[in-house]
Amino acid sequence: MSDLPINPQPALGTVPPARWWRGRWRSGAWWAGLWLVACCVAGLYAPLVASGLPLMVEAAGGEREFPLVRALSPADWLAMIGVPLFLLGFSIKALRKSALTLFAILALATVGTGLLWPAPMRPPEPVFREREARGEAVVYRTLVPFSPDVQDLSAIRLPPGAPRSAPVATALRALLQPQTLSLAEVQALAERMALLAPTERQATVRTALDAAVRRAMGETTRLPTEGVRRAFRGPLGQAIGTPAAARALDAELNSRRTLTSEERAALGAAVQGSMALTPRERRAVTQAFAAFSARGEVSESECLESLAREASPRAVLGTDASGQDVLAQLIHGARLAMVVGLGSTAIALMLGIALGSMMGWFRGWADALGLRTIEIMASIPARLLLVVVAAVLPKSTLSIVVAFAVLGFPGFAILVRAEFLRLRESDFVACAISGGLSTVAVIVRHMLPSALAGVSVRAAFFVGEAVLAETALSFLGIGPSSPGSWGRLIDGAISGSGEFWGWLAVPAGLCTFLTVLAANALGERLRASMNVRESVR
Amino acid sequence: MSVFLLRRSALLLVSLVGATFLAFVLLMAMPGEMRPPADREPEPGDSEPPSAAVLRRQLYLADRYGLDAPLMTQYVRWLGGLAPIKFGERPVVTPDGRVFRAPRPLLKQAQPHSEPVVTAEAPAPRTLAEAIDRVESTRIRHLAALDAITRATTGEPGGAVERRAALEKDLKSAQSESVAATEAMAKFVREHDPARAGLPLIPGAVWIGLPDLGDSIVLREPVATVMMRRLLPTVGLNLVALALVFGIALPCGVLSALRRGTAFDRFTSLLFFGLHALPAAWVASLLLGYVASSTGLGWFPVHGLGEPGPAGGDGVSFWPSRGSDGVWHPGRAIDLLHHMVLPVLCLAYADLAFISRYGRAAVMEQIDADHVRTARAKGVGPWAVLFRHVIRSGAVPFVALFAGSIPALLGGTIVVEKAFGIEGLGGLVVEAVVQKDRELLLGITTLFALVNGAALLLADLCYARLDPRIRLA
Repeated sequence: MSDLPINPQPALGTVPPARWWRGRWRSGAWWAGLWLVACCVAGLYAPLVASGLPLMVEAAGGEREFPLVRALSPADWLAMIGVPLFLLGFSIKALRKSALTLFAILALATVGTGLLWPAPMRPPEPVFREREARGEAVVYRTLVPFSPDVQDLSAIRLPPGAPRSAPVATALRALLQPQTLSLAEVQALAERMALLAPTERQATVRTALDAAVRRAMGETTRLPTEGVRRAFRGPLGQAIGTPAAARALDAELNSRRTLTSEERAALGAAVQGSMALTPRERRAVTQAFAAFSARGEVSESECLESLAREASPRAVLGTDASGQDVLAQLIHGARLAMVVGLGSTAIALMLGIALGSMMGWFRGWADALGLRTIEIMASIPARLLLVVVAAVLPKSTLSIVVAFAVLGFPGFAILVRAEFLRLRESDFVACAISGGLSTVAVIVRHMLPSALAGVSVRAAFFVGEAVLAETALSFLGIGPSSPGSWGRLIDGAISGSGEFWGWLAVPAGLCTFLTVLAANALGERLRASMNVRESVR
Repeated sequence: MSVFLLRRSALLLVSLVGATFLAFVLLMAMPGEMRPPADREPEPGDSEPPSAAVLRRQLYLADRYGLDAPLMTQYVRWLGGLAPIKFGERPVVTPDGRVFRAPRPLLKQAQPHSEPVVTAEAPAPRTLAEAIDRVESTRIRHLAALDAITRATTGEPGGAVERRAALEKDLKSAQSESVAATEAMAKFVREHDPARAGLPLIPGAVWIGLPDLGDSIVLREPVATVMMRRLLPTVGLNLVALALVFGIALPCGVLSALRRGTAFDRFTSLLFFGLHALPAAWVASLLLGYVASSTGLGWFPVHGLGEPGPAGGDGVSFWPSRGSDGVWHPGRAIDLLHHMVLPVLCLAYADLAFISRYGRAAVMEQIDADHVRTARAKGVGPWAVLFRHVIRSGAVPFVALFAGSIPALLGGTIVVEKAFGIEGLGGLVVEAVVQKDRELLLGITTLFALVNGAALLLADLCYARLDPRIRLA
């Protein structure tokens, strides 16, 4: 009976120390927990504030200017500060009872809101709804705490992840002019397009674009078609792939309004610039398109002008290349990190425990089958698989969370299986089985609690790994398309022209670092308190 | 032992198929067409006629990849190209129009192709070039007819029935000519060919050939060539980083196990713990911004690994040497090292924690063991105890750890490669997926799976070799 797992329980009615916070500041795990809670709260209140109170509404792609940017009202600021303070106070009070339960509730709320939040939200003004329905306006909200400026208006015209049909349509309008393409060709194109099925129409549009660009650049034969394709694989290509863009193009083809020669020159420069450039530079070009569509004209120098500004009273931590506030993106990034870290860990835990306990309980062929599956999954390095999966899946937060979980669960399964194989032979399990308990009861009530120590340590470290992986994916440009992400901020810190904008990278990286450090510190603490030995093999 | 090896290679095979199939399915699930650039169909309005090269390439691609076939067929076909043992008879057209095919069959098999429709005025081609040219010209005619009928359909809404009928007849004949020319070429290929094939096992049915990874569709190069070119920077960087990690972390781990609880132990473990949590992208961009860039300290180059290869022409040698003007030139090696400093730092720092903790745990496990105490009691010196007894018996897991980190040599550098603009294998993966280059992605996956399996096998063999208690079965 020596291997009975005895958990020494503290005597009931233990009086908590009078000043419970004394000495806490020395404990790294306490600070780690506090940081994670803060991240959760930040992630939680961002959507709360955004959904409860209209912050800022902006229409993109409209014909005329919309003076619509609204500054934060005092009520907004109250909510932004009051909600977290309330939650924090609540959490400090509840911490004495059970920090873990509280954190679980908080984490659940964060993950839930994070996965559900970017749902379409209706702006209050009916004129927006009309314009949005007609596809003319893109309405979005952000937590951008800077007041509007004429200069900033063009900067925030393209929200991250918004459809880019309007600038594309404008670009096409310039490219498909009678001057660049012969009138007969445009006419033939339009006639053929009417005959085609929607999918074929898209392909035709693409070919037309090829031809138009080649002509616009005055190189009918020399230009390698790869170059053109590469150009359209960028933001333009993505936009063309959407039905909305195809519709816009149709409309543009019918209304042949001429543009001025400078406009066309600017567009030519932009298209030329978008070729053979890095994604970061292409983003600048997209932005130039946006500015172009907003004002109807743009000079060549403005095409590549960045809106990155250092910290100022209006933007507390500065703005990025497209003029978005860094602080706001940090807050949105906190939610994304928490959702990815905690959500994927939770799913991986569930999958791993289910599979591992089945393998360890049934042994035999179930075990062998599971092991082979895990071995095959392990035969591709996780990072390669991660990149492939992230690039292939739709860029939603949920798909990234599920991908991380699916890639991570074999580790949990192996741990649980090993524990189960060991526990299966132990006396107390034999007692439980011979006592007539059902299989489920034996597994859930007797074996799982003893098997979970190692798993929980691993889970804490997995949170850190997931946050790191999310940052890396966002840095590579294949992360989830959330309103803000720490990795994307780090990516944006080095501009296309080689400038380094430290105010983008430093806070974002610091947040990632602290989050991963916090998760790892909690893991260490768990390891110490649960007496899990780190094995070398 | 041989049973073990056999089982492991079977497992390797299964995981290879599983991994590539997974990659294939994932890639095919991605929206968007998989189509090589510059191989678009010639538009009816095009002024320039499609060149012979384009046609040859289209022919080759249709033959090589069967992009119209069902997905499973495509995958099996790819697998068949990879397998060294090949079945059946299948002539293959290369991109430059050359044709090679399987050895001649012993038994006459049923022809897979339908009977060619050879019109009377078209005699059989005498050379392959003639056959290809004929395919080309008939194809252009076919397209022209197609264009005419399209224009007629769109331009004239009603009437002109006779003209349309004439056009349709024209189109039909052009089509049949085009088909006939293609068939004639296929027939030519079947009958005359420069036989370039593998070693026949059973002539005509089974033979051995080199594994063929195919050509990258976007890059238009053999996948193996592309991978070899991109492999070198990645593996080089990672080898240096790995040496650095083991060189720093193992001594630190051993020392902190010997000086348990001292300031050194606490400091190194805290330091490595903190380093482990740093995101690589952040470190890379901070190093670039503050140390490498010209607005910062400007100490290191910001991009790439310098000019590739030792340039012989302009007098720059690989090793440091005295030039003709009597001045010492640093040479390519120093330049390369200069370029490698920051990427290697970024690659190395994160794994320090992991390795040093393992080193510490392994030494701690041994240091209280009976045999170490006995050795010490015998009067063996402290260094001898450490090296001959503690480290030696604690080293077994490390050999396996080292073998296990071989796969990471290939795959772990994507972020660093992107940040420092290094053309390596990691970036290639992203490119292959984003551009939907199927052959390239499958080739890379194959490489990874093979290296991974080999590393696992190596780790197990090392265990068995170093620890006689472990038996492989």
